[in-house]
Amino acid sequence: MQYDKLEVVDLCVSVVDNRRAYVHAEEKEILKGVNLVINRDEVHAIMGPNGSGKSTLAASIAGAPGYKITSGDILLTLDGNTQSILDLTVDARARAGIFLARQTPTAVDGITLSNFLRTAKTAIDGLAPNVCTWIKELDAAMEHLKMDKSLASRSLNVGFSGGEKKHAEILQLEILRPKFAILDETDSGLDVDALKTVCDEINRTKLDAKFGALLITHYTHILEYVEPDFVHVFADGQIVESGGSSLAKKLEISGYAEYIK
Amino acid sequence: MLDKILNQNQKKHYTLEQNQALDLFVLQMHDRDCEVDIRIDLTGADASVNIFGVYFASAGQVIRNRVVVNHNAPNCTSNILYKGALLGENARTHWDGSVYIAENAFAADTYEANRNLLLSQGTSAVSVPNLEILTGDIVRAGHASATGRFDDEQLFYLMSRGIDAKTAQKLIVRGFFEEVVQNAELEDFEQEEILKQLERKIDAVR
Ligand SMILES: Nc1ncnc2c1ncn2[C@@H]1O[C@H](COP(=O)(O)OP(=O)(O)O)[C@@H](O)[C@H]1O
Ligand SMILES: [Mg+2]
Repeated sequence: MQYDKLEVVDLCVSVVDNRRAYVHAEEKEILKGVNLVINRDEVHAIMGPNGSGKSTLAASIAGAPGYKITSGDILLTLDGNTQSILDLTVDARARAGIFLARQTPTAVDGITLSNFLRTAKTAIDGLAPNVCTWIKELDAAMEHLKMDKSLASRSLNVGFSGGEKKHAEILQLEILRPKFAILDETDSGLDVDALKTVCDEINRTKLDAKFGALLITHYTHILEYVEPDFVHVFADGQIVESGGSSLAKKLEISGYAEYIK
Repeated sequence: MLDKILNQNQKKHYTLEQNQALDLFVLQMHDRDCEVDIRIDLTGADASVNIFGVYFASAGQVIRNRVVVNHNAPNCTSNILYKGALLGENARTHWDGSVYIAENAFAADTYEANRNLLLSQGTSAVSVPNLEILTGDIVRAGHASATGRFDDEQLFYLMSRGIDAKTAQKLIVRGFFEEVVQNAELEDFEQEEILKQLERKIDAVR
């Protein structure tokens, strides 16, 4: 049987500067032909300078507003069936198994983290979680992440510290068990201990859910805890080099200078 | 004292004597045009009033609110919070809130706020908070008015966790009203009823 996989094919994406959309929509090409195949259970790391388009790639896969796919495709293969996800709504992509933890998670007033999680879990699984085991499951996940339990009854990400938001994203990862997880700079803003806790949780969830992972990062530190199978260097809207985990070590020493024109 | 004005046109005048306290809740969530006009005179020392309002204008509907609070005695408190949502072509709301603090109304404590959430194009929310202070001795005096468009990033976030667009929109709008519904002195069944009416308003579209 064929492996489940997520495939990015010659993807070109422009952003519509939404701050100016009323005056005259200015389009700017950010991704200039990205090719990437992530099989289920593989870990891919994308590293690259600021502004090179890493978050744009992540956002395009999840279907975030403000990004326009000008050419290319994003394909999802599940149980041997391949389909383009470009026509799928954001929620359908999520239900198909795609998960994105954004660099800066959004805050929403008046919806508690626990209510949000239960609603999302119900949507993803197609049925409400068992009332008896749900609380235990949520408690256990928060314990793994060493999260303050009181966060569960607070408004989603409202007034959360940077670190708490990152923990809350990984909590969602654990509860929702996606097939493909895109983690955009989940490591930034976490101290060494918190990074270890979060990475342990990513690994624990992966062991069970066997998701394919796309880790976007600036630092090699996270890659010491979550071992990548492939490392890709991203520059100016493209993958300019791919290799094994040794490539990350090289980047740590030499930086991105040779990739920037 | 607790009073509620629920889904009806109303013009009301309350006079609060010394130590009297009033909690007032205004709901405008039905489908007809609605106009509520409230005047509160705080005439005795240490009188206090809380006014909470929730309104939702659908296509073609006009909702008006006027609130006047007169601080005419020392140590009085007034707290006003109205939240409104607008959805559909030509949904219009008009909110006018005035607090006057007289020369002898020392140690006044007042805060008035009106927040509007525009859920679609073609809506118009007018919000006019007004504050006039004639005494130099104030504990707190503030007003705020904010009208914002529905946040696409919030919608995306919820949907990116598998929640369909309509459910996500309802959750966000419920969340927006949560602060008022929680703060107002309402029974659980009343809170539930309000949230149900809210969902009905959103469901009515499309
Ligand atoms: N909504 C937007 N409007 C205008 N420019 C944008 C928008 N989003 C991203 N960009 C620009 O796109 C480029 C790539 O951004 P991003 O994908 O966030 O890069 P990275 O994640 O690699 O730092 C940057 O130059 C950024 O300024
Ligand atoms: Mg980025």
